[in-house]
Amino acid sequence: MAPLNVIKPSASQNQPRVNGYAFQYRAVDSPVHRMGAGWKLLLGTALCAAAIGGTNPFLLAALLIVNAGYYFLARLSVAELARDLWFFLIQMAVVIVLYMMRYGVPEGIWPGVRTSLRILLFFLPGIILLRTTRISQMMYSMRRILPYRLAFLVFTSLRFIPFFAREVREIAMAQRLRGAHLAPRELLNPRNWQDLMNCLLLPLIIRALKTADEAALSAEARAFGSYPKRSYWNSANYQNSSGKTAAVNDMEIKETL
Amino acid sequence: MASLLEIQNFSYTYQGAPGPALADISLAVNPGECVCVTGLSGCGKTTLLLAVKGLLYQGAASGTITVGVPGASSNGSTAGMVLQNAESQILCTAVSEEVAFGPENLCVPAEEIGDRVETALQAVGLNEYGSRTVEQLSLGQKQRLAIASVLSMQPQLLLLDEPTSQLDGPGKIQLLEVLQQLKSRGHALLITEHDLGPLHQIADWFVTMENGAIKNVTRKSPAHIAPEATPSSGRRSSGITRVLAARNLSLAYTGTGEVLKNLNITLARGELIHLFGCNGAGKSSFLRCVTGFLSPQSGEVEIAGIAGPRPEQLLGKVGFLFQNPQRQLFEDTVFAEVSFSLKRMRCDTGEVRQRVMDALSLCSVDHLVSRSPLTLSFGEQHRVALASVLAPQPELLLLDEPFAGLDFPQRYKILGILSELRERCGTTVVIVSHDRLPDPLWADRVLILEHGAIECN
Amino acid sequence: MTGNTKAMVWKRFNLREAIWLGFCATFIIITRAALMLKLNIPGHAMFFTMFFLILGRGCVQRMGAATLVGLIAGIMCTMLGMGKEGPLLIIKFVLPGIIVDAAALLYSRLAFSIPACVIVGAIAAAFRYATSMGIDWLVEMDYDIMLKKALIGSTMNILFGAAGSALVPLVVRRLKAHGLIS
Repeated sequence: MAPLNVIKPSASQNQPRVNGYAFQYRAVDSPVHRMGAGWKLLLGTALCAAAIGGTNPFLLAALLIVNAGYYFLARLSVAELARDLWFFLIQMAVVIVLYMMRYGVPEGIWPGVRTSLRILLFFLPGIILLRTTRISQMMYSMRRILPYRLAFLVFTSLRFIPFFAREVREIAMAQRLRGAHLAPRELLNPRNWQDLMNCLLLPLIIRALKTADEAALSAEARAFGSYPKRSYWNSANYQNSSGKTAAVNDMEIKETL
Repeated sequence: MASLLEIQNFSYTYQGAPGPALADISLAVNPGECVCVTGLSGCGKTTLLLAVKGLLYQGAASGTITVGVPGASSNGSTAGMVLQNAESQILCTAVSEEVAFGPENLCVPAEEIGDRVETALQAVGLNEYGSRTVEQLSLGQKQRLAIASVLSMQPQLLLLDEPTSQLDGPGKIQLLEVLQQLKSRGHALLITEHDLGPLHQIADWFVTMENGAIKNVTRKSPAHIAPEATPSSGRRSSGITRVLAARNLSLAYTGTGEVLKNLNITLARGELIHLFGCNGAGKSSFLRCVTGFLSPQSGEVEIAGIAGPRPEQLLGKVGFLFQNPQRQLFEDTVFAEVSFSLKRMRCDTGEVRQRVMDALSLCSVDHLVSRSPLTLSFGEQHRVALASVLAPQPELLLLDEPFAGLDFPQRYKILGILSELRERCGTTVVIVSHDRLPDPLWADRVLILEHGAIECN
Repeated sequence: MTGNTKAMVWKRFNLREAIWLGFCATFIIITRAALMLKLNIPGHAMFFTMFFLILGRGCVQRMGAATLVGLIAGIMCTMLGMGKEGPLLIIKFVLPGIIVDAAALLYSRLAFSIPACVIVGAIAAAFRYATSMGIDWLVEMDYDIMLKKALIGSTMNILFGAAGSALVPLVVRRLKAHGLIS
């Protein structure tokens, strides 16, 4: 028998995908994490309003210190801060350059810095909210606020994220073996975008239409929409007979993305 | 005893349809009774369940359907329906939320819902899973979750549409235990199924439907009329040309652990193979490994003469029919669909035409050549998808759960097509499934994937 | 879309249509997440965002369809922390949806016409930047600088949004030809 080539083991290929973007929940324990989402929203709104109203350099400096304190009180690291602020730093550079072009070199610097700093301070409380609030807490808050029909649509759409992510992968696999150019590198070539549309998007959309049929049937079979209102049961309080509580695992939702 | 379900002379015609989907159906189901409805695809089984549940709106109906016993509890639903596809009927992210969904819709007080969730999950043996997300469940567990989500609405009658179709052996046993318990508690069960074998233990009546009408009602399950089972014949493997070889293949997932452990397999040209394994045994992972979509931690793969293949290298050499192959259809005509791979292989027009017509003829869908594949029936779409992967006459054809959703005559037909393919082209065919084949004599070899390794049966 | 369900959502969409629109939002999230990790080109997420916004409207020929897609996508993005704007993300998705619905009101065959989709896609993608401009206005940025910044920031949005929108008619026509939508 002819010798077979050895395939080098791939350590990372089968790992679940790790989210690499900023503003994602950081699972540590901190006073900010323990604060309710409502309180964080209130505090954030106040800080945002201060950022909009503050033109005085001393006020801005104070706000910067407060926001930095808020950020690090949440036990978030400098590296995470850098990742979160990366976009704002680029934006800051653009804004300062535009101000300098408008007002000249030394005169345009402070207005540029002031304006971009206010933008940064406007967004930072919201970033801290995202970093310190679990998806499940967000979902719980949303369910209390949103009308039940909208909440149903949002949460059903959320539930089907991993389902359709799997469908995309499997349809792509099937079509690649048939000869469609759907490998990631191949998709960088615009000539292969027709395959993306015909061989992947179209079947996916057809599948989604069929799944919408089935999901609608499932909802209606369980009396959704039969009454003008529906009751609300908080699954976070659920304890089964062995005392385990129900909590949606945030990582499982994120891992599918 | 008063019937829980009484259907009298019920007929239904879908809007715009040429004929009735249900024709003069009369049927009764008593509390604690299980009635199994069977028949070929398209005979009206699912329509019957939808009619009982009251989910048919736009057609023309006549006759009566009465569900429920006078004096039953008012804060429940008289009939609960579990659809065929567990995945698409689950609407919530968390298990407990899914079970609570129905009672919430019924405006059951929140303080009562928790108890209902607990009871329903216990009834299906998922009480330890209430805190999990749905994605963590196996297919069998999802099927049981779907039942729990209906049980929490406290129905008297349960309607189940092909509940075992996607389950492996252990999954079916667990499900049947649950159904037996429900029956013993006084629930009435109306189940549609193709595979009646597992239901012998719990079904009291078997109803056979044909063209929308009831053909037969018996105490015993009707036998499938199968073609005469013969040992696979025709070109056999010479044992010389190797078409697939994997040596010491190991694959592990983070969190799940090792799926394949030093797996070894060699397939020769022209073999018919049944690769059998329970759900979660690693069958799909194995297929993805050998076709280059997954890189194993260690081991060697050679397929169709290509070592360490990439998927793009397998065009024309390896065909792969995925589960639910209807998902891959997209062209405007059946001809275009089946010729897709051949065009990518840069075959000339004459050869494309010839191979397409040969493939369509083999799959008995040549009369559909100009039709849109997206408008065909489920079984026809299945055969068109099959034709599209065998048109290139591959050396190796892999089929992942090819019988899902097909009735038994359609399954036998598929086996016949695959045998014919082997005779004509010498193609090695591998059927991967969690169930035994309709024809136990079809395969030259049966390989069992268990604990990450393959044994020959 | 054809629908056989009785339940209506806000007396406008039947349940099947509403869930389908939700799935359009699901696809926006999936493609946004996938592209964010792979490409570092600003504005590229608008390609699929505009595609699915207009596709949703094309399949469900009712006022508010695109807005609903945007609303669901915005809420999901907010919950998943997929943008720095937090709850303001909702506006960033809803505004293009409103533009699409308004355009469809003026031209009912929007989803079947490539030029119309390209124009509407470009405008809607540009309007997505309105949230950022609103914040810039609040912090009293000079108007001309605000406009220049908007131009720099939204150019790629517009290009990708227009490109994604252009694909919609090709899909919608085929879905209609196969009888999958009404």
